[in-house]
Amino acid sequence: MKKAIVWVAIVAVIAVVIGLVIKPSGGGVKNIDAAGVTAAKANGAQIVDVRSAGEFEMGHIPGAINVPVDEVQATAASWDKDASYVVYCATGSRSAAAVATMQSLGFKNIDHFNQGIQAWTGELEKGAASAAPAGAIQTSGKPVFIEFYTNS
Amino acid sequence: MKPLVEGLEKEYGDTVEFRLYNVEEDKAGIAVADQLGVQYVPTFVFVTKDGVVSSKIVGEQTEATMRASLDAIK
Repeated sequence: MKKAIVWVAIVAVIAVVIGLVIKPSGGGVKNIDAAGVTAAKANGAQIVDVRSAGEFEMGHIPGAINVPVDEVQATAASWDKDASYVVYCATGSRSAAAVATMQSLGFKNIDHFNQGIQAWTGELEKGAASAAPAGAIQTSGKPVFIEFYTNS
Repeated sequence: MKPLVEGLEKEYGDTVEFRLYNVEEDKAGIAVADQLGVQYVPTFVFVTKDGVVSSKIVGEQTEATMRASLDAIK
């Protein structure tokens, strides 16, 4: 009887260890801090603020675009799934939902600033005008020149 | 503006993506123009690699102006 209990315990331990080793890494999602946001931004990641428009206007990470969490599903559907994104909100709750939505859409490179903007140590940008309209200008990591013209 | 833009594309094309929209024919271009509030042509929009509109200028431009705006987003 003792032998059986020992074997059951050994099998259980092995199962736990295997489970930890082969556990998926989260589908390309990584939690990052403020320094990680700065680094990701420098590498061309698109910063996505999923708070409300009002919160965004009061102050956001420079260069961020505003896509309120309930609009992520529709807006992000047309984005480049292979590009890199940093997602944040105020405290990490709404951004967690946004990250899950983006994962379900097939995004592969998502950094989650899971502590939220409350943990942001850099300067803030205020107002809505400085950010591109949500989903309007997606880049491939390069700056973009756009000309609107007619034949006449 | 076509020769000027073509010349700039040859020079900056490796580091800046050029998107040229004929808003009489290109529906995708019209949608982008609406989103950016473009009302006149030609309009030139300069966007940083983060997707932020750096500047938007309307009307015929000098080469120097175009270069300055391109250099600002490089």
